[in-house]
Amino acid sequence: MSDFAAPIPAAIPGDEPTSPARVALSDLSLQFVGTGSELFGIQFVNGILTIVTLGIYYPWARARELRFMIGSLQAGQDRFSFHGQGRELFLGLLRAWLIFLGPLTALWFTMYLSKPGSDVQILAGFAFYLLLLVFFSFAAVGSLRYRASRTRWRGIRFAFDGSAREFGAQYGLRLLLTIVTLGLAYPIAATWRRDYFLTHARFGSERFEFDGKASDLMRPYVLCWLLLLPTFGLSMTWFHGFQQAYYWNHTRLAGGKFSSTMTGGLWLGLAFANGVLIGITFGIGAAWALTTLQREFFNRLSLQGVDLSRVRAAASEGTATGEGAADLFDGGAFDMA
Amino acid sequence: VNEIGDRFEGRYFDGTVPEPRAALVWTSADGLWLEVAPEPPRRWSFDELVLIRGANGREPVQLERRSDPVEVVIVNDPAFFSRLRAAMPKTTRLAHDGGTLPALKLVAMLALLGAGLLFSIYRFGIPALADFAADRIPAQWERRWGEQLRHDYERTAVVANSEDLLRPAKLAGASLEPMAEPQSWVIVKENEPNAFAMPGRTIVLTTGLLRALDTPDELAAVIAHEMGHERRRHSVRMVLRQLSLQALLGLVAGDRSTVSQGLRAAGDLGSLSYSREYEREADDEAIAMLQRNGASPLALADALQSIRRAAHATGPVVGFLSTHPAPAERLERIRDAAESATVQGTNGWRDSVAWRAMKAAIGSADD
Repeated sequence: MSDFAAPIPAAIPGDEPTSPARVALSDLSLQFVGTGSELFGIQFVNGILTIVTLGIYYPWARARELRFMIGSLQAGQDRFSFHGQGRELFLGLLRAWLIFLGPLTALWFTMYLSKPGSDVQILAGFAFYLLLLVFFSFAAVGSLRYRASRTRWRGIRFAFDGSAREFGAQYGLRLLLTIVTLGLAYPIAATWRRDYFLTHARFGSERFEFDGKASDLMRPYVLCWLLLLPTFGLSMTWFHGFQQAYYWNHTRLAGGKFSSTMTGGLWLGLAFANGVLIGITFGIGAAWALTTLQREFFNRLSLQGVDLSRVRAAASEGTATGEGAADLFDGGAFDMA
Repeated sequence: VNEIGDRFEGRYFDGTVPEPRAALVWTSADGLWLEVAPEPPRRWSFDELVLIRGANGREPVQLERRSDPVEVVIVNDPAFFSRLRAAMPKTTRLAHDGGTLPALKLVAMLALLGAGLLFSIYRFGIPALADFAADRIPAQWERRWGEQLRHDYERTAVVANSEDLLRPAKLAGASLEPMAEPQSWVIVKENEPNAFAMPGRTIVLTTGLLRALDTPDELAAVIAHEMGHERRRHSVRMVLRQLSLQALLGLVAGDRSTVSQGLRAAGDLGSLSYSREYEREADDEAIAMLQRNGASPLALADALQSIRRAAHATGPVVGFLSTHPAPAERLERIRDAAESATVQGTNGWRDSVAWRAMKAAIGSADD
């Protein structure tokens, strides 16, 4: 019955070689293939189950949604896959609650119940926001580390090795600078953050590289900042689209260069259309808005001239079979990165 | 053409490099077979497989093997999925990411866990937290809150604070807690026999109550009970419990506005009906105070019966008796305490002149 002599296809579809030279370089276009109705179905079931279980289902719901969102992304012909489990997220969330929620709740109540303008209220308020910054640093780094370690493409895992302490201290200072300058220093904080996240991220053995500079963004940003009021905030939406494209156009991986054709105007149009969609459907259209945004963004993104032969599974990958997590926040309670 | 005889064309990734290798994939009763040239065919058993996508029969089938490193095979022909399912024994489940619906067992378990957790927080967590916080709230906060409540209350109630009506209560208060800071009193014109302690050391008595009680000892017992509520800071504890409960409900429902609603509700006197647990504590305080002043704890039992008799006459039992422990159980506890009590000496509230003046004034207050 078996016929081992059957021909094995010689050409592999998916990668398009750009060079016939010894090193086969590939151009990979990215695509988001998830649909709004699929996401809506997932969110609807998640919502019901989260209510039925009094909120405890939330981590499983989150894992399910992440599996869909990450699993709907493909590079070349191959999908990314997310392997995070609700159980891991649940344990991470529990740890975060035990450590942060108690003190944050106590400080919040002190703020609420103490006399307005009193020393106690000011002190409690200061402590509350400081703790919130620490929380967000751990959350941002922990979330990236968790998501990266649970995401694979063609069987190769991503990784993130940033440190929450380093990120929190450095980013906190830049955030403070942004506040002091009434937002004018935002490109400095945002670009540093992107740089930190990318240069600490790997695909297998290959580290992402980033050569974007805050100074390149300063001019358009200041212009948008000045136009903020006359344009009712729309200038900033334009800037975010421009900024995303700039960041990707300055990102490299395994010798390849990312290229995004997203523009500020397109981003603004998408944001406007999504706002209208969400508004007229009283929020029900949010799933369609999100998938449209993802599709329009990723379908304009490609990685050109990448040398995939350079990529090897990282040495540590073999042993970490899903649980990993010596670090407190590796449980991935946080999803706001 | 993706299918060659029973074989499907696929791409294989060995988990060490992201470069695809051409593979032929087919199924048999004992597993999934792959041939990646030039190596001989290899078999993946069904229980090693994890389906990443392709369950809907419309997209390429992506399978991973639970191996180290993780191996991947992708078959572009969606029809491969039904071929795979048909080859697998009926009892073997194909592990996959669960689709839209999670396992019912997981949901049931989590729902049970959620209900258990909510109940434990409601039953044990909130009372413990509220009591812990109540002991740390400054007395002046409570006084300010009490002043606001009293102000609101006096706008709607008919206050009958004449010296004749107030004197027996003041005498009892001064004797029961001579060292405490001054107590404020409000007598309201109301037929229902009732008494309650407002936050910030204010005790409210109704004319119905003053009429119902037969002796100065009974009045002292009722006042001692209310002072018991004050001593244990029951009003603060109760509001904190309600606030925490509102916060918990808000958290479950994802609605933060319930917390501010709770804060507003704290300004409502309707929230001043205590739990049975608090009534028992106030009774215990009253019994101890009466004993210290040479009065029998039975005075409290007598007061309860006088109130009950009068309440039957005025209508349904509400207020002072409504949330209290079942009368029989309560009377029994008081009698038990009275048996072991040593009653001796005298006290400052047995002033027959003041008592008679009060009783006389009650008549005119009702007119």
